[in-house]
Amino acid sequence: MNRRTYLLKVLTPLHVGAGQGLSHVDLPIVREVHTGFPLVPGSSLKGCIREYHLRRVWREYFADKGVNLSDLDEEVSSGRKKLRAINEDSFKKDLEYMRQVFGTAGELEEGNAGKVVFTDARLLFFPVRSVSHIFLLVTCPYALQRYARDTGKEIRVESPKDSEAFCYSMEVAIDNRVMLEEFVFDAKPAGEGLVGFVNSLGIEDKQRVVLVSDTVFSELVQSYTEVQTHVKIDPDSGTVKKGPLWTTEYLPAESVLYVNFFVEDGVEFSAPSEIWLGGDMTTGKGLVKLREVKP
Amino acid sequence: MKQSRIKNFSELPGGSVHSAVKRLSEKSRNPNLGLLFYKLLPFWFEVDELERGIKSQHSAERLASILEKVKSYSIRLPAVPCQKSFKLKTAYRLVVGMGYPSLLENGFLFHHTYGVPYIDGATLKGLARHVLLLSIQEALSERLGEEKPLSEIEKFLLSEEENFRKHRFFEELRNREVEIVLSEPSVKFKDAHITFRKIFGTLEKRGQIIFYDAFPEKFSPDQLELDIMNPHYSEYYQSKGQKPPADWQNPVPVKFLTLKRGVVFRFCLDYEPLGEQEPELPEYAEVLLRTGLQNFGVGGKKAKGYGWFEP
Repeated sequence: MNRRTYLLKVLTPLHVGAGQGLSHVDLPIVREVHTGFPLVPGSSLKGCIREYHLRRVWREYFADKGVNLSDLDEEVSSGRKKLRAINEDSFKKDLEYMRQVFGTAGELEEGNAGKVVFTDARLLFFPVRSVSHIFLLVTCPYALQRYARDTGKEIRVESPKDSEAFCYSMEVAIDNRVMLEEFVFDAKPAGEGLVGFVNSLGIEDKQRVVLVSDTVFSELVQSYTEVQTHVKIDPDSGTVKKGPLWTTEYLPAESVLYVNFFVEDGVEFSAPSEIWLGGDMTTGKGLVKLREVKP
Repeated sequence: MKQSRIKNFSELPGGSVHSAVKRLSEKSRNPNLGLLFYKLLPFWFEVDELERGIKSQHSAERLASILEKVKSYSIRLPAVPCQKSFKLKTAYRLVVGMGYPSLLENGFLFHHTYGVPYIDGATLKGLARHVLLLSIQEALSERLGEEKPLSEIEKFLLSEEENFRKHRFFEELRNREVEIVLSEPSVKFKDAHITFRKIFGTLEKRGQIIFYDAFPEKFSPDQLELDIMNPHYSEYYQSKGQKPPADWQNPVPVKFLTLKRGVVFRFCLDYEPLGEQEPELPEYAEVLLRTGLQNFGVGGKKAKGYGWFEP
């Protein structure tokens, strides 16, 4: 098994929904039960990446041949449709790839689970509005340790007190203070551990990185996500329709998550560089950039 | 001095002590304007001023002076690659998000992360959709000799495939050209009802076009300006017509934040990546969106000429 680690950068607000909520928002995002951190479940990722390939193959061989996407879907998972394409060889290759990566329904001779394991995408940096640099990318020792554990690396960072923020660059501080939303923290320069780690990731905007305590981070990711209010306009009157006004929660643009793919030996796998996840795609929500982190 | 409420704003140990927030905010040159507008504005006042209560007018004046201070601010917005994009500039002032509660009484929509004014993709999609809906209504009423309410046409357009094809409107529109209202030069769509379902989707199927959020091409805070509305008969409105709109009532000026005329926005459209990618759909969507922006506009106070765009 090979571990392949990717960073997921949220380009437009991302709503991976948890259904109806009873909290302050009507449509909250999914979160980890034990930490309250937002995440993208592995099943969501796998589903979206599978659909991405399914559509790609369908468009290449069947778009104008009267074959439905669902037929191709069935062909991939069960092989019962016996679809034929003009370019037989390359189509077979594509089929084989999808069956290997995503698995089959168990009705083929080698009915099997996929040979790539999709893990949950976990939060690494969370953008928080700031008075000094528009927004800062916040993380905490727990998130970093977890990244280290999940990727087999070692990261040594000191833990800030609840009232402190360790800054990659002291440029983000004013009078040795950092402000996140309306809260003030004592700014300290980050240690070599954090600076080295951030450099090794090769992310844009690294001067915005700030490390806060686990408690503070947890508070920020739970209370400072993006919440949008939506209404429906009545086409006859042009005014807001009575009743439906709802709020949707999003993981804000510029959030950074990471995900591990475990790939069986001998299987070629690479994730698409851009993908749409979650809801409200046709209004531009959920565009995510994927980039592999070199081990 | 009495203990301020604001001192206990949160239990976060970082705290939001009034004097500290005030000092930092005053020194900032690169603030997130959304944060500033919705949360930090009260910190520009002294504690005793807050205790006495601030009027929206004072907030507006304070905001104006802050904007003056940070006008050199700049932000690089990430460009989203897309199939089709076009630029239009605001032809008069623009105000989106007036309904959000704020210290100025009227709100303003800032992007969560970048703190710049923007127009949500959902608003743009709704606008383009409305233009096509109106065009179909006009074509149908010409044909049927009677005006059908938009909601009835919308219901037909959203219906399940089987019912959609059986509906009498379907044949009325089949193979006919529908002129897009107010389009200039005039544009006609063939089978507009089918196009409608493709672009905007139905309850069963996702639309094939993505409407991205639209951002100003270059943004700096000096593109914002305060505007004023001055209801003369406030008692008449507040009592819902119980009191007469008489001359002895005093006008109550209310200031609100707007974006200036002449700010260039970039509008982006793309295929829904997993869809069928019919090349004429982005073209059609552009016509609809352009027509909507140039003739109907977006945001608040459209009837007073706010929120429309010009090339």
